[in-house]
Amino acid sequence: MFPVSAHERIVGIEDAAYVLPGEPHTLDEWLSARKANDALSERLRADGYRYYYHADGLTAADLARQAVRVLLDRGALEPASVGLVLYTHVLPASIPAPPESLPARLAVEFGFRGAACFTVSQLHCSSLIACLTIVRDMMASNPGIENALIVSSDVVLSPELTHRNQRNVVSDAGAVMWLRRNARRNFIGPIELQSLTEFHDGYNISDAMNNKFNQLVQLSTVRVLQRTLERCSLPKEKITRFVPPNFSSRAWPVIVRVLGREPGFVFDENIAPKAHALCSDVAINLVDGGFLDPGPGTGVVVHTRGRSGAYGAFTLQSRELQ
Amino acid sequence: MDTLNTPDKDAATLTMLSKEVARILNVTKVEVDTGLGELGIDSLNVVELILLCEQVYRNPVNPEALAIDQYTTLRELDRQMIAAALPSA
Repeated sequence: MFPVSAHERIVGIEDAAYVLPGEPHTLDEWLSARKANDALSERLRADGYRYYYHADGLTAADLARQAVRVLLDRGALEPASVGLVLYTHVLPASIPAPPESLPARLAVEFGFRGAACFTVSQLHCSSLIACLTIVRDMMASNPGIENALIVSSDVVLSPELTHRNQRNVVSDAGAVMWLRRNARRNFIGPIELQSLTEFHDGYNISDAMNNKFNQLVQLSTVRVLQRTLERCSLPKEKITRFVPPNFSSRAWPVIVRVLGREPGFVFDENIAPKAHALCSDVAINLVDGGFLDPGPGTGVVVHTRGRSGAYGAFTLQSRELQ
Repeated sequence: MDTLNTPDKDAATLTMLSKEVARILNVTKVEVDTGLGELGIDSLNVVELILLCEQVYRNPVNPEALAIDQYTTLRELDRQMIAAALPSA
């Protein structure tokens, strides 16, 4: 068991914001646009999806920009104090072609003058967890960085780009998390990140590999959660909610059972109304669940998993214990 | 469990495995020669089966070394687990 070091406690999530564009579309629209067969339709309904969001011509950059605007309009963050901007995404069309830099462009547009700006990707939805690690390590090594932004955005350009093996309903979304040294309400506890690299081809794998993925996916989730909770400074019962991605409502009760917790431990309320917004799920769920403000002496454990085999988790804990 | 490579022990682990699988599936009995898919084990709850194997066979499971699909039977899984527990030559 590894104690949480002071280094691990220095960063918290001060605030977060997100945008889901336009009005929600129904699952039936999603199924119709993709000419989904009965088996897939039945499966997605069983997985809890009911609505999703579509950007309808807006780009990922547009959604990222909108999310940052929502955060800054609250007036708590001075743009010039942002020392680090990380952009993260899953889909290839959610990032401008090099050498253009979307995070640097956001820095110019919003006045994050002099901020280090770069992109983290290729871990799919778990790229967000990698961002947390990078922010914390950079803050630890550079006392000049007080505030950092993790901006996430993705847009599904066309139903035709839905892979035939895809089993998730994806929503277009943009989100931003403001990470702050010694944030007021919470701190990020242990962070775990693991990659099963043999699944680097994502959906483009053989039936045998797909079977192996299915064999390992839930176990990998359990393992990464167990390691995170073992390193957490809070007793197990003080971790009050499990915050997974917004997909597969049938998967999480099994995880909760294996962890020895009650069914209400899982936060799955956003699967039906919002679907899976890839890297932005974390910000969306932390905001909607009120988890940026954990109750005194408590915390939540957040989980991400990616089809390319990346699994991550972290705890977000009440600041009072420090 | 000191050794796992005798017929009696093999039968004992298979019996124990089937009882525990019946418990997690909330049924009275499971057939050891029926495929996992037919028993009701799928990609969502196979994690419970793997963790169960760790308890029954008392050795850490390398799940990547297992070959499990919907047609794998408990008897076959028992054979795999015992083989995995044997000391290498």
